Amino acid sequence: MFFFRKLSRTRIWQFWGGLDVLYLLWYVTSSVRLGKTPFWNDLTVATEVLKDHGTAAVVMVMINWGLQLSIVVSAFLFLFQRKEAKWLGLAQIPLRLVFVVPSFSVLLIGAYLFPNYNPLMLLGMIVLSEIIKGWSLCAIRNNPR
Amino acid sequence: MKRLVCHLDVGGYSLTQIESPFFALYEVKRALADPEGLTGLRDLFEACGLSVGQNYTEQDRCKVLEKVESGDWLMVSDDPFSPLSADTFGKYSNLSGRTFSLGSYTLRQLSASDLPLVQGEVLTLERVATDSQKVDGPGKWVLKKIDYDGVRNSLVVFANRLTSFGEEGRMFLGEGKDFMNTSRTLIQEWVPLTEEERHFSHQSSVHRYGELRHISQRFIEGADSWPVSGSSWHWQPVTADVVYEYKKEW
Repeated sequence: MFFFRKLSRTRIWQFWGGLDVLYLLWYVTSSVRLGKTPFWNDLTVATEVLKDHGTAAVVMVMINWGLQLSIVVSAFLFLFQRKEAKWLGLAQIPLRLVFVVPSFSVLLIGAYLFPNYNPLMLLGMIVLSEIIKGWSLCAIRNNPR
Repeated sequence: MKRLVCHLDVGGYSLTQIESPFFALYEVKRALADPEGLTGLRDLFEACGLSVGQNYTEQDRCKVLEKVESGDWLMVSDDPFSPLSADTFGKYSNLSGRTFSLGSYTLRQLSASDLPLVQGEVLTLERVATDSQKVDGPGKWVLKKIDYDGVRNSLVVFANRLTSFGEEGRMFLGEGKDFMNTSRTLIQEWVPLTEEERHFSHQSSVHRYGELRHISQRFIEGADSWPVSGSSWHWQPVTADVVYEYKKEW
């Protein structure tokens, strides 16, 4: 109970905002290290690949891109404590589960460092982290009790 | 006024004036008792090698009726009960040009530009002769449609994501391997050869025009001479959009 008393909305939002920033930094630095232009290279390659995969795939990719862009927005909203962050964060949860983009972005780095991970265990951890995120955004009040 | 006409001689009549062979058969059956009562029936008898007034055997009767049922001989009328122009389901597609397919449980209707004849259009001698011969013939397979197995592919993509989760520096769904093992079905239709391709007709297989064939493909990595790596992700088996099928040598 002591742990929950120490939680505040400000800290929780900084935590999720920080993880969003970590996700973006991980992607951008890795991409640059591989000699690519972040976002742009992926967009051009995806456009080529999608020609052959039908409308459903195009829709999936567009939603995935929408999610990626929304992570940029949510990072700012969480860090600047804007009230819209809560709703955007909650709206992202189903998409994060579908496209396997965990809010707890440390999992991405973990999977990179331990490539022989168990996919089902990973899925379980992602689901759990999203449940925790949803709960923390809804249940944690502004002022610590 | 009703009249029986050989299908080669219906030039100048509109589809709206031609009775469906089904109902024409009924009329001809009735007229057999009095052949003079139906214009053209005498010609039909002659076409069957019979003469009016002789005693007909059951076999002769069948021969005459078969000509009507098959559409070799058509009944034209000012007010047909069921004109060929109303042949919605393409039962007489070789005469009306309409197609209705229940192959693979799919309902299909040709687009307006594909219809050899449209409602009310004058059925010319040339067109009837050509269309009635178009049931089977040499041709080529042309890509008609691609069916992606949407739900299954979504699950496959999800599984791919779980296994490639640790890959750094790239956006998911941006590379061929993200679509590994997805599947699709190519639907190709047998269509006549064009004028420029006619020289190939004697070597071509023969199928019913409008016949569909389904080819299942899987998206996997395979040999490819173009990329430096020597391989690429593509749909296999590789199938061209237009396929010429050679006659099988027995």
